Parts: sequence; structure tokens; C-alpha cells
Amino acid sequence: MEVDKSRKIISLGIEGSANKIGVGIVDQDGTIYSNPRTTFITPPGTGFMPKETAEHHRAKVLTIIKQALEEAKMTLDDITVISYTKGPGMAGPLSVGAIVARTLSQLYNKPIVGVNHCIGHIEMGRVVTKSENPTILYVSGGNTQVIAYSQNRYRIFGETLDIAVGNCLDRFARIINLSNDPSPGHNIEQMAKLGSRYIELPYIVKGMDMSFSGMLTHIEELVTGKKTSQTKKQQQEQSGKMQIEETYSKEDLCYSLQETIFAMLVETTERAMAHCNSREVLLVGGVGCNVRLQQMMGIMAGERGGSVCAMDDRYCIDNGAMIAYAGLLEYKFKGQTGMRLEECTFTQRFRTDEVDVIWRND
Amino acid sequence: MEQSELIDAGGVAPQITKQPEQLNLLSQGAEGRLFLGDIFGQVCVIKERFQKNYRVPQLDAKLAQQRINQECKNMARIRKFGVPTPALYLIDEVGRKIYMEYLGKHAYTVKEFLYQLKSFDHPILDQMVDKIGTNLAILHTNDQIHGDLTTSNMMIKPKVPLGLQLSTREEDKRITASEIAESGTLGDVYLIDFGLSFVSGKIEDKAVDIYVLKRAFISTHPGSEDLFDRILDKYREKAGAQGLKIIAKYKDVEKRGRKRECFG
Ligand SMILES: Nc1ncnc2c1ncn2[C@@H]1O[C@H](COP(=O)(O)OP(=O)(O)OP(=O)(O)O)[C@@H](O)[C@H]1O
Ligand SMILES: [Mg+2]
Repeated sequence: MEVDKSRKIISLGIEGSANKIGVGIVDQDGTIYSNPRTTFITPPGTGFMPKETAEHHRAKVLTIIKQALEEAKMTLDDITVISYTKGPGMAGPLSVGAIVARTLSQLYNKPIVGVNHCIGHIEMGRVVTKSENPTILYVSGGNTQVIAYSQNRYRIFGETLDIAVGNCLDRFARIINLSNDPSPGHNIEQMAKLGSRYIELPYIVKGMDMSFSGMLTHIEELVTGKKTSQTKKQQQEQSGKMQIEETYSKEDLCYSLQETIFAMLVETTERAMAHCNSREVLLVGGVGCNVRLQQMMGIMAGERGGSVCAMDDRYCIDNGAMIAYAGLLEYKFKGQTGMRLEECTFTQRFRTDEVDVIWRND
Repeated sequence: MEQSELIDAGGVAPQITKQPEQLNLLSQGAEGRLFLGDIFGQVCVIKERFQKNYRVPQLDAKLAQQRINQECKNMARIRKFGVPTPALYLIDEVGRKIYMEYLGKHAYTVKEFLYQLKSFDHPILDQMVDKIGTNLAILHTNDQIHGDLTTSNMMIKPKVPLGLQLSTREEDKRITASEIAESGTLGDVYLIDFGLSFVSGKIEDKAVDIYVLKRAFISTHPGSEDLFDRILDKYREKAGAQGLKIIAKYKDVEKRGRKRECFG
């Protein structure tokens, strides 16, 4: 379908699948006119729950839409298509975006497109970095996937066999009681910089798949084990037997956890690259913001004669613009039509490889 | 005695092969760099697990050591059960290298073979299904987990016409996948790459092994679901009573994968 070049397609995208609510406005070249968002932050030792997160999004969404339009110096009349995250994600938070998008679509008579969240990260990443056909490592709170494109699908070559990397990091942060502000991952990263002693942790890779839950159990045992061993130490001192107990500093734990988990991610990504004869890597998802992970990935890709696409907030962290852009592609290549209203639902489970990638023909 | 007067006493180790830069690179896998080299005048494949600078040296050394050991031990172990694998010639733990049989320039990875053949229902594939299914069943019946089953880690060593076989001329062409297919004989299917392999009797481990293969198969060869199912049928037929349990568990693992919460 050829697009009328004289008129720009402008897409407004609403993202609210997890703890961030964001609205972005983009055009078909990937130019971002505005992209505000806010994050629902919970106290240390707690995670974000669906109900409270949805309440947060509901309270903020309209203000953020207004802000996005103001920053872009646009009104809803300038918008060609409305995009929203259809899934995957938590039902409550997802429903906020879907309902607001449907209402706007009806009120202003605009076409509407529901977007796969993961595809949003990937397509925004491709347009921002101008990377044609990278191997993608998608690492976030709910996802750990090694993805490569072939025949109109983003195919999953490797993934976690149990919990997601981000989830593992978040739960680890709770075990050692780190703050959730701005994010557990960020705080682990900062603390890891102060660590120096590498503590051996379970390293579980099965081909291009990996497992993280054993790691958490192991660390939990180390941490709680330390507590009991301190009492044991007292007992030993009382009984006159002196024994030096191993202690693990938070810094060393953060350092060792990162080094181990990221090595697993880099290894499986490299295996997929070798398997697919690919040289470029695109890191997407919140965990992709981690500088150490980027650095490790860079070394690996460099040694293969390839490179990692420069990391960028526009596609790494959840935001409205990436949803707007992926929605725009779908709209443009479907002959400039949106979805039927009854298709505009939301769904907690929506796999990356379910989406028919009509906008690529390589 | 002056330093310069010393000469090498003639041990084999320092002389067995050329330096990597003098060797032909066969492939750069995930961890291994594979070279075509020679050992005592015999052609061989040298798999070097070079240092990975992205990970901490302590972890790197541990993994390299562990995987060289697993690869050597299990490659030899599997051969005993009658599953074709390259013969192991030499282990150089210090140099992180292993020397093994070269399957020849006519050998194809199953991946390459399927890419060239461009068909998932050519009659020659009956033989492939048969051999892969049987190999996997033998592996699992003997509590051997491969750990990285993909179509890159299985190789077809075809039967080639004598003329082509005997020719050492570099310019003589390699047999094509369709020539193999038309000949009506596939040849042997070898399993390679045992770095992630281990011995375990657990149903779960065997089921994950199959799951890993399924995922690699389907994502590398879109549309090959039926072909994979045929391999699984053969596996079930050959794996005996435990085969049914493994397949049931595999379906479980797969369901877990589909159901996995997935939010950004
Ligand atoms: N014995 C052999 N003869 C001919 N070709 C081989 C042989 N072994 C390996 N190859 C080729 O080299 C490729 C890579 O080998 P292999 O799978 O052992 O290494 P790798 O994938 O790097 O290993 P790992 O997954 O343990 O890091 C194979 O896919 C195959 O094409
Ligand atoms: Mg391999």
C-alpha cells in the first residue's frame, strides 16, 4: 500500500502494561514529538500490584495525554491514528490504556490499533538505531527472550525456562532490601560497582534457554544462612570453638549476581547470533539500560566482528512513543485502516511470535 | 649451561599443530572457534574455547574447564551407545582445545541441509527423521542429555560417489543437498557439540532437552512443525516406556512456556 506522501501519518500511543504510564506522539519517520511518562513507585521491599498500579494509571493518564499534546503543539485533530498496548502485561493496568484509547477513538472518530508491547520495543529500536536485521535481546521485568526475524515473524530462539531476568533482579532487591526508587535494577547496578569479590552462583544455560529461579533460592539461602550462621558464631564463641564464618556484603552480592546473570544472557545471545549468522545486537527492555550489560554485550559482539546498537531511552524503557510507532506501522501497511472496535481488547498473554509482521518483507 | 644451548627434547605437544592464525577457520560458534588443522599428519577439527573477555575470569575459567570436560567425556560416552559422533583425538586443557575427527567437506549441518533442500516433505527426510529420532532415543535411554539440541548441532555425513570422495582437489565441488536427496541415501546423522551435555536420569531434564530442540527447530525452520512431530513420533517409538513419560512432561514444559506471564 502506497502512502500519500504529502500527508504525514501521526500516531498517538498509550503504554500502561506495567508500572509506567506513558503517552507518545510520533510520525512515520520515527520522529518523536513528545513522550511524557510517570512511574508508579512502591516502598522498598514491595513490588507493584495490579490494582494499585491500575489506580495510579487511571489517575494520571488524562494529564499525560494533555501534556503529550501540548509538548507536541498538537490537538487530537492532528492525530491520524490512536495506538495502545494490547498486551502482554498486567490486566488492570492494561485495561486503563485500552479503555482510554477506545474512548478517544470513538469521540474523535479516529482509527485505532492495539499493539504488542514487545514489538513496540523492537520496532522503535530498529528505527532509532537504523539497524536492519539485528538479533534482539529483550530483557525486562516480565520478559527474557532472544529474538530474530525471519519470514514475517519475530521468532523466539531462546527464553527463560522460569522467571524473567527483571523479575529475578526485583526479587533479589527485595531480599537484600534495596530501594525501588528509581528502580531496583538501577540500584543493584550502582551497588554492584562497589563490589569486587566474585561469589559463585548457579549458572544455568540450556542451549539458547536459561533459568534464573535457582539463583534466587541460592541467594536467599546465602543471605538467610548468614543470619543463622551469625548466631551459630555466637554459639561457637560461647562453646570456645572459633571458626571464621563467610559473610557476604550487599555490594559483592549485587556484583556477583549481575556478572552471573548477564554472562548467561550474553552467552545465549551469542549462541543465537552464531546460529542465525547475525552480527548486530539490539538490546531492548528495561534491563537493557544496565551499562554493565551493554558493555558485556559490546565486548562479545566486538569479538565476533559485530556491534551492539547504541542504547537509547526511546526504545529501552517502556514509553508511549514506541507503541505509537509500532501502531503506525500496522496502520500504514494495512492499507491505512485500524482495527475493528471489537478487536480492540487487551490480553495478559500475547507472544512476540504471534504477530504477523506485515511491514517487513526481507 | 647457557640458555641458547637448550633444544627441545622432542615431546609431541609443542609440535602437534600450527598456531591458530595459520589454520583455516571453519566456524565461529557461540563459544568455540573451529579450525581445520592437522594432528600427526591427519586432518582434524580443532575446537578452541577461547577466552571470553566479557565475563569475569573466574567464571570464564570455570565454564571453559567444565565444558571441555563435559564435551570430551560425553562425546566418547555417546559413541559407545552407537550414536555417531566425531572421534576424539586429543585434549589440550591448557590451550583450551580439543582435537577431533573432521567429518569432511561434504558434511552438512541439518540446518544447512534443510535450507538448501527447501522442503520439509522430500522422501529423503524419512531417513533423517528416522535417524534423529533414534539417536535422541538412544541418548535419553542412556541418561545422556545433550543440552543444546539444534539443527546446527547435527551433521549429515553423506555417502558420496567414489570419484568425488577420492578427489583431493580443492576446486572439486562439494556435493549439494539436492544431489544427496536424489541419490536416495542420506548417510549418517552425527551429533556434535557436547559442551552443555550432562548425565541425568530425570524425566524433566530429558523433556527440556526435547523442548529446546523443538524451539530451535521451529524458529530456524518456520513451517517445519510436521517434520518435528515425525521426529517426536520416532523418538516415542524407540524410547520405550520412559519415552511416553518424557513426552508428557515435554508437553507440560511447553505449556509452561506458553502460559508464562509476559509483561514489559
Ligand atoms: N567434526 C566436525 N566436522 C566438520 N564440521 C564440524 C565438526 N564439528 C563442528 N563442525 C562445524 O562447526 C560448527 C560449530 O561447531 P560446534 O557446534 O561444535 O561449536 P559451537 O556451536 O561453537 O559450540 P558451543 O555451542 O559449545 O559453544 C558446527 O555447527 C558445524 O558446522
Ligand atoms: Mg554448535
